[in-house]
Amino acid sequence: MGTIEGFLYGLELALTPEYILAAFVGALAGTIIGILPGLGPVAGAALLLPLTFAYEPTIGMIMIASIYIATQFGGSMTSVLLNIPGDAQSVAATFDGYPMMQKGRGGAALTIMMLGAFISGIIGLIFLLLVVPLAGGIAIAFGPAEFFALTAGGLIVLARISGGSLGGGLLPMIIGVALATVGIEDSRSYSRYTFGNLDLSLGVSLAAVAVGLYGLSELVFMLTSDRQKTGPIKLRARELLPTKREFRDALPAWLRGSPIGFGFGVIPGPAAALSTFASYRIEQSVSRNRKKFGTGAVEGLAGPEAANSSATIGSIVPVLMLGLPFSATLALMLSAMQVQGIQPGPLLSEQHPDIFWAVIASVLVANVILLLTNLPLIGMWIKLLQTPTKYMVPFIIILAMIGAYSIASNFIDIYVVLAAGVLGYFLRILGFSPASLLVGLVLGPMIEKYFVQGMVTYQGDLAMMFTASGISIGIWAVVILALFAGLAAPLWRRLRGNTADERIEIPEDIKEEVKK
Amino acid sequence: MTQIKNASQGSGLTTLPNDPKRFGQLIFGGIFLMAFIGYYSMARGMPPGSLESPGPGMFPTWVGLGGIVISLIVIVESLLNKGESGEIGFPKGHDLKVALIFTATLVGYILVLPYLGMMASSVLYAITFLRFGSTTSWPRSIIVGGLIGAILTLFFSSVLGLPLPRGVVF
Repeated sequence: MGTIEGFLYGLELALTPEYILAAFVGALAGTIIGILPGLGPVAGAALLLPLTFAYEPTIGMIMIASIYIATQFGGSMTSVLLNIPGDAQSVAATFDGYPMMQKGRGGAALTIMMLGAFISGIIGLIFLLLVVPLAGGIAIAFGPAEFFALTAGGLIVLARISGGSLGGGLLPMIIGVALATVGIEDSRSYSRYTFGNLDLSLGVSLAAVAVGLYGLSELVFMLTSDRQKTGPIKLRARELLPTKREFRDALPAWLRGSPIGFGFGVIPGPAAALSTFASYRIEQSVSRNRKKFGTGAVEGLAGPEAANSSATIGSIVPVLMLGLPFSATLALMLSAMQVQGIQPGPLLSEQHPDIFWAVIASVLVANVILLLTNLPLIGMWIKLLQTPTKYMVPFIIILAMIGAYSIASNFIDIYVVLAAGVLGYFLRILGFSPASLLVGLVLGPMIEKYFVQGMVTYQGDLAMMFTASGISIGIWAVVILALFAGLAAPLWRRLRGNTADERIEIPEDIKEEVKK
Repeated sequence: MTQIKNASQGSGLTTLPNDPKRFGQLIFGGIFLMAFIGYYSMARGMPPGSLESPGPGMFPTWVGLGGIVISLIVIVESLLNKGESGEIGFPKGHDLKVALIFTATLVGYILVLPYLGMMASSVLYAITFLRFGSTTSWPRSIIVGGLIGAILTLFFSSVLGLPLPRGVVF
């Protein structure tokens, strides 16, 4: 099936009432969890994912894709309204979005953000359709050594980028990979690290770990910080309309941000967050209003938000085509696919064209739904943002327990939530990155699978795992560079004798948010 | 604590006992060093197979070794002041009280869940948290907590049809 033909087939499926409803529910739920105080996109998505397992795979997948897109968007709304980014990729929206809010242009900022997300979502989708045949071709050329390099190497690079120091980045990653070895081993049905407990035979549930790691620990931070003291937010309906000048400033920024975001999205790593900062920097250098940056420049909000939306769509490519997630939310998405009995990879579009194309087309449907529903519902979102913490906590905890139990109707997942919550709290206060733990938990079994396949294929030649082809050599070279570039950087700075730092000034609390 | 510096600034002025984050990382590294030594020992007891045909013990052995090396790197980084550095934002005073109530009510909730079932334990948890974790009065806690617990449980069990644990009463 050709790309256009496939997309039209997917669109036909996605426009059936039950699939539109699935996209609508996903978009609505995703926006709510994206903006809900104390429930970031990862924890929120983790809470909702077990609930999608009750439906047929295509409906479940459409809901998951819609939740994923909407959570990213919901996270940016809190950046503009409260100066609290929902996640790392929403940080850039605080730079100029919140100053716009302070100047009484918060409504216009939200509209610019929503329109930008829609336009860049469409542009991202066009890029996605162009990339799908290429990605499929490349992926088919991959053997076990290349997949091993991509999974193991990609994980190491992600861990290195997310963490501050070498050990600080790698420790959560190896904990995640170690947790992934718990349960029955596939090839010989050997029980590993279950300590005779049958409940552990199925392994450690990713959703339970994500809820604990992000949800529980975030609740403790929320209860013990000033975040719960949210002042009144006032937005009038007429403020939602951008002025002609604001629109004129936003348009080129949307068009610049979209390809930047998509480009970052398809690269393994914390793509969306990096793309927003790259876009902000580019806008800062090309804008006519560069002096306004940081004080409410429209381009400073429109560019990064377009990049964010486009990167979100771009990052679906490695998941669908290679089965490789490189963020915590995408790791959850992949895990949900596997629960539904779908193995993403180069053959997905051949084996399950209905699911593959319906999911891609539902990205368009979800974007339209987000645009149509979010502006009229802005008042409701603001009210939701101001829900007192004391009511949110029991609501979120009960939801977490229901979600965790419903994964496998087993109490072990509830205990895992608690244990992961304690671990997540200490990881975060000590400056480690929980994201690499979660991705390690998903990629761990894949790394083992490709390692075993590779060793069998290359008859035990370990060197071949790293040097089987130019692709694997290239990937490992990038890994080595990522691992040790940090050590070389101070030396390089000293040689240049240059200590001047032209980076964007980011407040300390925002830096903490990026680390999460 | 004014001498505490950021990781990237590296002047090495702060001593380890005066730097809670570094000290915490040292302890964290130590705990996981022990854990990975245990993990590695258990992996050695699994069938390793051969390089041509790896067994279930081979991958965990590599992971265990990696874990030991990485834990040692964390320990060395904290000793040499190469990692994160600074204060730890542990809750204090009223915040500590709230955090402890949150933890205690959550642990209590999880402990009674298998016996009371999802509905009764959720209602009980929501009421207890609202009453003791905030300044909400008893009547309001009972009404709001009861509603939150009951509505959520009923929605997921009756409307969405999720199988939730039943207790001795519900």
